[in-house]
Amino acid sequence: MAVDSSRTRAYLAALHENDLIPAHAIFLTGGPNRPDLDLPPVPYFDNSVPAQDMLQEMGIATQVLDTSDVNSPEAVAAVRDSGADVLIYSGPGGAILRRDLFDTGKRFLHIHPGLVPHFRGSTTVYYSLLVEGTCGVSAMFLNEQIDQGPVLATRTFPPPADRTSIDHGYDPYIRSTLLVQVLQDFEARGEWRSLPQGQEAGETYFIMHPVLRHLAILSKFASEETEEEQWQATAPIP
Amino acid sequence: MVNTIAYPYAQTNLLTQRYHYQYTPYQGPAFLRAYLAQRHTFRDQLISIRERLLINPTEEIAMAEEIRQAVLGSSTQVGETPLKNHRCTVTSSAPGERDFQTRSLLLDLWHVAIYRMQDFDRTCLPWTNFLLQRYEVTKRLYVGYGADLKPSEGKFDVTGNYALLAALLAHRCIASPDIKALNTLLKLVDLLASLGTELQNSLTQLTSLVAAEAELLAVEGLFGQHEVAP
Repeated sequence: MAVDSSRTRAYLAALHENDLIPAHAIFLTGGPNRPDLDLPPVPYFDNSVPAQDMLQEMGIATQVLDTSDVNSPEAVAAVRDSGADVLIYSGPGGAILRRDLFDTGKRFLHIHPGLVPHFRGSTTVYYSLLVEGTCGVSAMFLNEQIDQGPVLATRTFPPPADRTSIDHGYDPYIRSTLLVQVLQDFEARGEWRSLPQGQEAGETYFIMHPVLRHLAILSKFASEETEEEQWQATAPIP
Repeated sequence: MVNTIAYPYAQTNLLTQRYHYQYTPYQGPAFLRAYLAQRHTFRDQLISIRERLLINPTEEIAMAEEIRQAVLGSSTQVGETPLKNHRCTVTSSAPGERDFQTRSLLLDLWHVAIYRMQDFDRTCLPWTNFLLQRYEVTKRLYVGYGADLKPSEGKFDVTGNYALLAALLAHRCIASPDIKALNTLLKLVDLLASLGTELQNSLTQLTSLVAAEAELLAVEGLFGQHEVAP
C-alpha cells in the first residue's frame, strides 16, 4: 500500500533488486503525491522512475485509487478485499492509520526510521543523529498507537557522509535495506516473527524544529560504535 | 560574515496563523546565523523592557523574577515571592481527573518546580507532558480544559500561558540536556517573538525573556557539543 514518494521508490528498487515481488499493490494517487513527483538524484538507489511505472515494470498487479487518504472508504475497501494477509506500508508521511483499517484483519508492515521504543514519532532519524550519532530503523506491524506495534527487527546504521540528502536518499535507503532483510527472513522461515515492544519507557518525538534539524545535518557527531552489520532479527514469541 | 537569509519562522503572528514546521527547507549554516540574529534582537528588546519594568515592581514582576532566578540564577531581588505562597489547586489531581484553567495549572507547576522539586516528577511531569503534547499537536494552549482533556473554552490568546510554558521547558533544558523539551521551546519562542509588542503584560514579557535567554544557552551549548560554528 503506497503513494509515490522517495520511500516507495526505494522500497520498489530494493524489492526488484532482490527479486522480492509483492503479489499486488494498492497505489494511492491524488493530493500532493503526484505521479510526476520530481526528486533530486540520490546515490543510494535509482529514484528517477515514478512508482507507478516501476510497479508496471515489475509486473505487479496494481489497484489505483484516486485518493491519498489511507483511511478513505475506498482505501479501506481495497485493503479488505486484498488477498494479502500482510501489506507493506508506504503511505503519506505523517498519516495515522485508523481503526477501520485494522478492523480488516490485515497487518501493515512498516519500517520506522528510529529505534523503538526510544525514538517513536516524527523526524526521528534526526533525533537519533543528534542524541546518539546513529540512524536506527525498526520494522514493526502497525497498531492504533503511534509506533507502538510489535517489532520484527531493528538495525542501526552509521550517519551518512552527506547529511543533506537524508530525507530523499539515506532515510528511504536504510528503511528499504531493513525491509528486504525482514522479507528474506520471512521467506527463509515461513513465518513472521515479532515481539511486543519492551516495557521500558518510550519517547514520542514531535516534528523537529528547523534549528535542530540544521544542527543534526551540520553536526560531525557520529557514534564510534556503529557498525554497518548491527542487524537484529526478533526472536519468535514463545 | 554578512547574512542574506532572514529567519522566517517568527515573521507572522503564529497565534492567528498556526505553523506546523512540516517539510522545512535546509538552508545551510546561514540559516543558523539568521536564527541567532533574530533571537538576539528579540532578547535585547526584552532586556530593555525589563530594565524599565524593574523600576516599579508589581506582583507579576516579582513572580517573573522568581522564575528568572530558578532558570538562570540571575534575578533582581524585588522582595516578594508570590510563587512561593501560591496554593496548588490543579496538580493535586492527575490529568483527566478534573477540569482546570491553564493559568492555574502553570502556576502550580512553577510553584512545585521551584519550591518542591522533589515532587515534580511524580505530580507535575504528566501535566507538563500534557501541555507540551497539546501545544505540539494544536499549536495552541486553550484557556481551560475539561476533565476529558478537551478545550473547555474556545479562547487561546492568553500569551502569558505560552510564556509560562516556554519558561518551564527552558527550566527543564537548563537542568539537563533535553532535546524534546528544547524542540517545543524553540517553537514557543518563535510564537512569542512573532507577537512582537503584542505580548500582553509584564509577566509575559519577562518570562519570554527568560525563555529566550535559556533557549539561546541551550542551543549554543549544542553548537559546541556538535562542533557546529555558524
